[in-house]
Amino acid sequence: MRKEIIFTGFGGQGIILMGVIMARMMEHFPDLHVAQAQSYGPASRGGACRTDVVISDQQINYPKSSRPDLMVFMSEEALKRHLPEGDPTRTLIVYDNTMIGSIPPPFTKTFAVPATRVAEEELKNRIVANIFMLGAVIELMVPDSFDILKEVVRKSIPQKSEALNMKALEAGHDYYLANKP
Amino acid sequence: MKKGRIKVMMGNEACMEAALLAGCRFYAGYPITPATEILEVMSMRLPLLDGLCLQMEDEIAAMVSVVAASWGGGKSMTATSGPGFCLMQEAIGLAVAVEAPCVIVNVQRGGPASGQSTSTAQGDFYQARYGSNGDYSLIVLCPSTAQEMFDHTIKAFNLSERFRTPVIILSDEVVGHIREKVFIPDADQLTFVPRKRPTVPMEEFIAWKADADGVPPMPDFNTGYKIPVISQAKSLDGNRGNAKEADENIRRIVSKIEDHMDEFAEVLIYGAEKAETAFVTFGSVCRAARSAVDMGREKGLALRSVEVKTVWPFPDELVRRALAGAKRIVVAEMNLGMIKREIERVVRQPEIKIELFSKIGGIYPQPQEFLRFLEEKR
Repeated sequence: MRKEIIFTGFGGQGIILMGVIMARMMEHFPDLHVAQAQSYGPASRGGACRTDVVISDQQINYPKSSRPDLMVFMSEEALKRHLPEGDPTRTLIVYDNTMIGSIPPPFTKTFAVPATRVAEEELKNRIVANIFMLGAVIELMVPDSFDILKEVVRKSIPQKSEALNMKALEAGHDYYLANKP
Repeated sequence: MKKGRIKVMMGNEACMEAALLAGCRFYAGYPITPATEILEVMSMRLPLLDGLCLQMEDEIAAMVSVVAASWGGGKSMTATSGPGFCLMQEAIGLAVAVEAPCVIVNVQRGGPASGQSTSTAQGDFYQARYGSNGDYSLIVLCPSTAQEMFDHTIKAFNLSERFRTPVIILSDEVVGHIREKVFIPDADQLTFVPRKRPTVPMEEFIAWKADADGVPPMPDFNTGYKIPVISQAKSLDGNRGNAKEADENIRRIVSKIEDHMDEFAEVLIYGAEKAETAFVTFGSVCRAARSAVDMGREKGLALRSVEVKTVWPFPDELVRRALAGAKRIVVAEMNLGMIKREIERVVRQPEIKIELFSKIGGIYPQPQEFLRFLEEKR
């Protein structure tokens, strides 16, 4: 089993943190290996930004994604740049539909998540759009691991924003349960 | 099974954890992508251990203070990337000349000059060996995983003490920034090489007189021993040496390392050991090559990948043995053919084709590309 996930958007959205949280979750799975790599431009805010997470039950050699199973897009520019790496027959495309209009054909396996809209309008802080998104995609990456995700998110964010982040995470998860692809 | 704990951490963090376990209590550096995390975590952890972490005005000062801290009796290190590594070269030569054990981490990025700060590269391969002036030798280790960032750092501190030499960990952006599970053994599960101390009475001590292994014992400053430390070629008692003394001094600091390579040189083979097609790799590229070997196997293609873990002094004999029987050798590296020169020097059989699969510009090669290269260049 080798699962490859790409999170991508622009600097400041917390893209790399999404990958870091996924990687840290794997401390709770003794039989699984994980490799999280990141690429970003010289200026972290506003520039293109991406992280690859590979999870496997075997030792991970190539540490980046070369045949992604899941791609999570948080910006239009990221979509333009990285969508060609996806395989229309197998890659599930998750996208923030506040930032991205639609996924062009031939991709049909898609899941729209209103992460930035919910973060801005309902949670009153767009900074948690990434955490909402994590809540919405966790079952697609590691099924039945939402409790572990909660614990790892709690350890990965500043304490003063814990309540907000937990709310975002739960809201994202609820969104998935109500709208799963 | 060793006792310890498993933690997901960045390669750069794993390096820091190992350094602290090995007893490093002095760090001096200057921030630079993609090595900054080592300075960051050192600045948080060292003060809690009564250590000292200094952000210096530049990498020249950082490296000079690392040499001084080593002579002051501590285990010391620094970390940097290409542009900073350039500035350190003079003082790395100083560390060689005054035989100061210390560890230098170079997390490589694109060059030359400022190059590509956030992208990976392997263009400092020769600089790590020949960056300072004059004849000398030192040890350079190349990790491929976060775990190896940990293991090689422990090894680097031990070798630096064993041979009284700077040891360079030549990492790259992929390895420095990757997060993986790292096994951190408990301290009592590891072996640490202590500094070699004088055994003769203080008045008989001669600072630069080596033991049979070529390594002189090293007292600390302010302990009563007469220790003339100069950067010039010296006589045994630490005065400026004449031609013969300079000759002996230089030959000794080279041979103390190169005559004992069997103690530390490491070359691995991944895949089919007798395969006629062999990749040669070092650093992060080893990982992509491994996946290429696995993909080849699935297609019925026998491949081996020779991984050079200690790149300097170049392990000629081990590499020759690892490549024995290979008819086609593809050297894969993120530069325009540096380790390839060494392979050409070592193999020297005109009937064997040595090809270069090169990636520059900050691009990390994909496993499929290795197979495509084999296919297209046939």
